[in-house]
Amino acid sequence: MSSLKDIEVIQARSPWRDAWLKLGKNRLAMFGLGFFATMVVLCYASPLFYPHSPTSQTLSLGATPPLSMGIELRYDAESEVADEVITVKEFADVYASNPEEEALRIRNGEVIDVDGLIFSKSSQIHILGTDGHGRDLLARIFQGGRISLGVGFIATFVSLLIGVFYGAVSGYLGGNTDAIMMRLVDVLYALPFLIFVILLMVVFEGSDHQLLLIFLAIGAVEWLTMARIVRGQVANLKNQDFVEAARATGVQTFSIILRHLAPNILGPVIVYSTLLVPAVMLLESTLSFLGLGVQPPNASWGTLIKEGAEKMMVYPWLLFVPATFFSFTLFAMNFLGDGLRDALDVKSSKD
Amino acid sequence: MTRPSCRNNLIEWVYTILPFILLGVFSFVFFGCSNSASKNAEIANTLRISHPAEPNAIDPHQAISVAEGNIASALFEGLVTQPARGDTEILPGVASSWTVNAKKSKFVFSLNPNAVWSDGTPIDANTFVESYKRILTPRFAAQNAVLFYDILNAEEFHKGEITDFSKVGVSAISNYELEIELNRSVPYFLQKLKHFAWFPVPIHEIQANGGLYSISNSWASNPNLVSNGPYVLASWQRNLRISIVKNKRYWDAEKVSVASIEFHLIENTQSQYRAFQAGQIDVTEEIPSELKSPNLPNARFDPVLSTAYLVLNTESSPLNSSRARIALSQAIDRKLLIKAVLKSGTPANRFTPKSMPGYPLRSDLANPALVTLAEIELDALRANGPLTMIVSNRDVSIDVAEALQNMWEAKLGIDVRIQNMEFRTFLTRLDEGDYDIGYIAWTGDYAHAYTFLDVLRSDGLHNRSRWKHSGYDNLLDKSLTQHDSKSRLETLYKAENLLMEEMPIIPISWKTKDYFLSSRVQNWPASLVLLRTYKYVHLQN
Repeated sequence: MSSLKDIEVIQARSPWRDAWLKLGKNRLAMFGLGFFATMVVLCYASPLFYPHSPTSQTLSLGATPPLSMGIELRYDAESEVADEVITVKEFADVYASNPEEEALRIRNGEVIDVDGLIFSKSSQIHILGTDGHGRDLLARIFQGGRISLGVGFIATFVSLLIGVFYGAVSGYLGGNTDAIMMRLVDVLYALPFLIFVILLMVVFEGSDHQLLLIFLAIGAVEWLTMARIVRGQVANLKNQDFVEAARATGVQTFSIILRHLAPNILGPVIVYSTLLVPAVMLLESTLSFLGLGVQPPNASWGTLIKEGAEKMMVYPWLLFVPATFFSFTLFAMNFLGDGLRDALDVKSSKD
Repeated sequence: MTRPSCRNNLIEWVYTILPFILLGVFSFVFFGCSNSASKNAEIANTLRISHPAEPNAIDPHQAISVAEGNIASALFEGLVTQPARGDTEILPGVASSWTVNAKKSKFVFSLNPNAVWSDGTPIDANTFVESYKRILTPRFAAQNAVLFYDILNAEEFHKGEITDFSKVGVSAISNYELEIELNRSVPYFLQKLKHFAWFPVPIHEIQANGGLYSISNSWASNPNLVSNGPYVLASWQRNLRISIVKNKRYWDAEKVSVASIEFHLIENTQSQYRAFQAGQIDVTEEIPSELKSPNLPNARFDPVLSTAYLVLNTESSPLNSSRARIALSQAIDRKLLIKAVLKSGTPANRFTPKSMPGYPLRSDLANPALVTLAEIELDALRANGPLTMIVSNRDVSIDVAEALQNMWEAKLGIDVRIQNMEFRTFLTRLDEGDYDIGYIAWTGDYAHAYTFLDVLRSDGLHNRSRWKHSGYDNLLDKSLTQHDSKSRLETLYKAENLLMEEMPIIPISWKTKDYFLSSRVQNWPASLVLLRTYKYVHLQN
């Protein structure tokens, strides 16, 4: 009994397990992880459970605030589908003779008849209201989230691929190769990078895969910092004993980079990636805000915020709701990134 | 130990910055006050107008958009001018009087010798001849030259068929007498003359700056621009503001009440609204669509000859079939679109607006028969993948496009892909035929149905639908030879019916001119063709 217990105590925890435990103690980071995971699940799984479609319009309803009531109007009592869905305000302004009382009756589920027109309460409930075309805002946010988060992941993945490979090769080979490769990165840094993305977008404008191209274009300009970080790490690691040992036993350069160096730089790479995801999402919304991103009827969080900002004075919820979702997700990712940085920090774990 | 030292530091710090704070406060009190006082006196008689786009130059011969014309109309003046309200009246401008022959094809204008350029150079009949020669010169490539085609041989000269301008029907009889001879009877010719394309240009000034027919001549962007209208250019801060002040040499200067006008460049309608609310401008260009409602304070909804429509690319499949085009048109619920998206205007069932005076002669078009597409035709509509609808990224265009996309999807089951782009790119795409559907508007140049129907002429400059129909062209040509205004309108009405049977364009709504106008602005011009006269405006503070 006791010997078994001793063994367990003695058994060393792997650095990964160490980091995970450390992260678990960081409340803010765990909140970030939880929120982010919830957002991802909600956005991608919403078509399965959420009743409203992001593209189905009810033009006659227009923009309504969260949880407000819609009124169905039938020209004919027998018709099954409503001819129009209108707001309470329009009902009061145009149809009702005694607006407050009749609106209350409709709210209580009564069907009332005004001059041969049949009014009843709409069964559709829009939790976060509707936009100018009468589309459910929450459904639009879920759809926008799929695009915004998608951009975040794919662009980060692309920049990860390019950056890690480029940085590792440059750092490991060193010497003139390293100098030339890093100067190239410096040159690319000097390019005004938003203009570069816009240029890429304009070149591929009208292509069927424009959305994918946005992802790729952003990824293709975001790898520079990643390459620098990786290069610095690799240049530091390559003189350590385990690499010397690998080289001495005749392991090939490529295998050394892949097998021995890559796992050791994983920490900083993961940290930087988590911080890159929100940066990329922000960039996508900048592009969408400029009209270069997704095309309607699709939406991203960037386009939703843009539309909201235009109508802010009249329909404030169209700005506040998507902006809240967006900023909370950005915060969550940043908290998670910071937490991971602390958890994976090799130096602090030695203390 | 640390606390007192911290406090000492703080006190020291406050003493260090205190003089600066006081300096700041005093300078604000002194300079701020004197500034605002003089500024208040200044704006008391300054009309501030928002302007939607920065013009390249203020050359009335090169101006195309209404926005450019708005500035040109303040600086220049043509033979005849627009009254303070309405469009029917024709008031003297550079011409003090005129005579017309019975056939309405020859006009003789007596020019006012008191009407001179702002540098004192006289304007004589030759100035007009030279000006009209300039706009008609082929290599000058002025888009508005087509407005001059009523003049005898003007079309031939503009197309390079003749090179001798003396054969064109514009001539100086004497120093101050100008004769314009037309190739047909045009009873509304004097109305056309109000358009800014007919303004004279300072020939002497242009020649001093470079070639008379050179497009790159910079005379019209000079800070000391010479003009002949009620106002002259005072300063031009690129992409910010154009200021103009009263022209002391203007022949009718005593009638001009407002001392100076500022055109503030504000593209976004929301920003215009905010600037208006903050009292920074007196007149806006547009009202943000979501604000539009009949009892909005200070809002004006003026009738105007302007139609918002969809232009269809009739050259490429599937919209080369008129049945498909009509089906698209009939699937649009215009009333709902106006109520929910556009927020102002009237559903349009033809291209020429219903506010067109005296047109049509009879009551409106009968409702055309509903077109129900057979399955095979619908398949053809869907065969080439989604239709491409392009819109400019201005105001409500994208919202309209999204609503239409939904209506067509619901009623015809066809898929439309929307591309929104900057306005210039949008026009280029339309001109190149690189689109299926485009959303655009046309505003008449003068109050006659011809200005609308002429757009769809087979070789029309603005006919972006690429629709070619010889029967339609023949009807338009026939109308030009008819001297009797009633039979002319009949012919044009026939042409319009033909247009609606073929449907190369889909009229959506007859627009109104929606803008905010400060209550201190009196006598603001209201024109069906958006011509502006600033002469009669006065400010009440």
